[in-house]
Amino acid sequence: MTLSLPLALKRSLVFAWLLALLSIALVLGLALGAVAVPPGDVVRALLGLQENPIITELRLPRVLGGMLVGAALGVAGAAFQGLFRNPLADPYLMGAASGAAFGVTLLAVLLGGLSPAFAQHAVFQGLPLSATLFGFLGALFATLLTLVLAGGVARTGELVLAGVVVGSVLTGLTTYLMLQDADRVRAVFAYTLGNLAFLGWPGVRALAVFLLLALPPLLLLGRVLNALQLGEEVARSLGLPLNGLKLLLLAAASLLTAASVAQAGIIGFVGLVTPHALRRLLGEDYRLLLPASALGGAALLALADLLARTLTRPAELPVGVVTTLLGGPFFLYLLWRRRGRA
Amino acid sequence: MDGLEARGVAGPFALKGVDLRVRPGEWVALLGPNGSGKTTLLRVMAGLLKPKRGAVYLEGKPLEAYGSYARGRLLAYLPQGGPYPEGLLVEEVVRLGRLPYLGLWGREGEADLEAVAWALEAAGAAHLKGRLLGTLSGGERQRVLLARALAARPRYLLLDEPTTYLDLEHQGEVVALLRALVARGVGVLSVLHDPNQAALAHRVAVLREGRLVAEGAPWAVLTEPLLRGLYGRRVRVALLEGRPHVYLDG
Repeated sequence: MTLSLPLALKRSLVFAWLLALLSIALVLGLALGAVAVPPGDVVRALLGLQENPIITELRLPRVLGGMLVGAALGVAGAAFQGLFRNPLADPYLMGAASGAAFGVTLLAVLLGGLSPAFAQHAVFQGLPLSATLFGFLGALFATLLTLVLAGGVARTGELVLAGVVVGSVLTGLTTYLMLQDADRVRAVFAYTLGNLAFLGWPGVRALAVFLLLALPPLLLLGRVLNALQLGEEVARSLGLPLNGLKLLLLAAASLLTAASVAQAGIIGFVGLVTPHALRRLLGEDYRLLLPASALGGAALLALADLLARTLTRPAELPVGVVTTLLGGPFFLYLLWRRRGRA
Repeated sequence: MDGLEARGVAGPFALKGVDLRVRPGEWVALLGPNGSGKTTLLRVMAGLLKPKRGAVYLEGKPLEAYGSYARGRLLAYLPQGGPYPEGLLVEEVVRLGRLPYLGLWGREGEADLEAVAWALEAAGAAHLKGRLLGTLSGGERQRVLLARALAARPRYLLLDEPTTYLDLEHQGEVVALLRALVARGVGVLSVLHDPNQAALAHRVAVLREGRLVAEGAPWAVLTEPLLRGLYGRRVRVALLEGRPHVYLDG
């Protein structure tokens, strides 16, 4: 029995599907929201034929930024899953999420006297640039701390354990800081829930820069992730300079995670479910899985944000709540189906 | 100087000074009780573990003198057990064996595809190439992993228990494949824990507590006194057609 022809066809179909889904997410994301804009007006605004700040200043950066965050999380999730050979790994495995929350909380404390204003700003007008920066630095700090505690990238199991420890300790510290002042709790809470409402053009530009930096090395190292699936010893016996490559993969995936956490807070399940679901359709070839996870993550988050903006119109839900509410049961379904087959 | 040679290798884990040489066209079986250092020695000779003392020489040059890709073209290593990339096609798995020639970004050429086709054929896995690894039986999977190791057309094969978990028929197939490779000039070093399979090799080297306690032709090494020293007093050996057969006294 050979599956090679249908599989090749199936793989092309998956990519066609993902692109279609992404286009649909883009169109709907621009047209729908608190106020619906007719498709014709959307096109005119995009072409600059008609002034429409709702489209060009609010929705376009939000939809594009959401897609970039989704792509970053999808690829980072796939890379972490490949690197750790664990389909349950997610982009926050190295402590990036707790680190980002800690960074933003720390900023709120450092700005002690200003904290109510900060809270107001964060909740109602989007995060100030300083918060993004502190979130980013916090995520990187946590990742580096995990690396140092694990003694480098050589022992994968220790990396996972160190990540759990760093995540727990930083979460504990964050909670302690938050308990000092209720106003700060609100600001940081809004951030940790995961929200694309903060995204404007500066955020989109920042995300684009990080994706341009970190995406190419990941997409080009699919062969390395494939070889890693044979085990690290075999990968090394094939001549791969594994410690350097693992560090590069980890750095690129962590940079993507940090950039997305900094701009949009902690958005659960996108980085976990996207590669997991696509692996079922495409198999485990990371040369396909990585780009597919970028497209899939982008589409998934853009569609989730569409729900976040429209379900409780005119109010909004944090998109992190939507992804968790949808992603959790979907993930259970995947596990349940797997058990059913086994 | 021909061959892959460990000289005075000591240090990692159990090993306490081992000299062992595998020549091209020769099958050496590494035998010994659990914990005697067989796998460690294999990994040292594959260049995956650095010995504290002693060194490994490949065709006369220290193993470290080779670049990692150059080493990968000459030595192929197949560990015992997984992990197995269940979601990869068999052909993709075997193609990974060409990594020492391709590096990170090299494109596969005619020679690579030929080598992959040859390896699949040699391992008796050509008919499986369009299947996902996760859908194969244990015996089929082991043949594919062997094909992966062969795809670099290595001069030396280092195999850790290549026949574990295989039924008798598939064990026989692996042994036949190894013999065919050896006949073509490949040097094979395989850890085995079944003395009866070791008896099929050209030479048997016996490790005990990190030291080589015997080395030579199977009929000379696999004797009752030696095996009883290793595995206890119930071990019996019978010579049938000049070959030792090891069994346990009921």
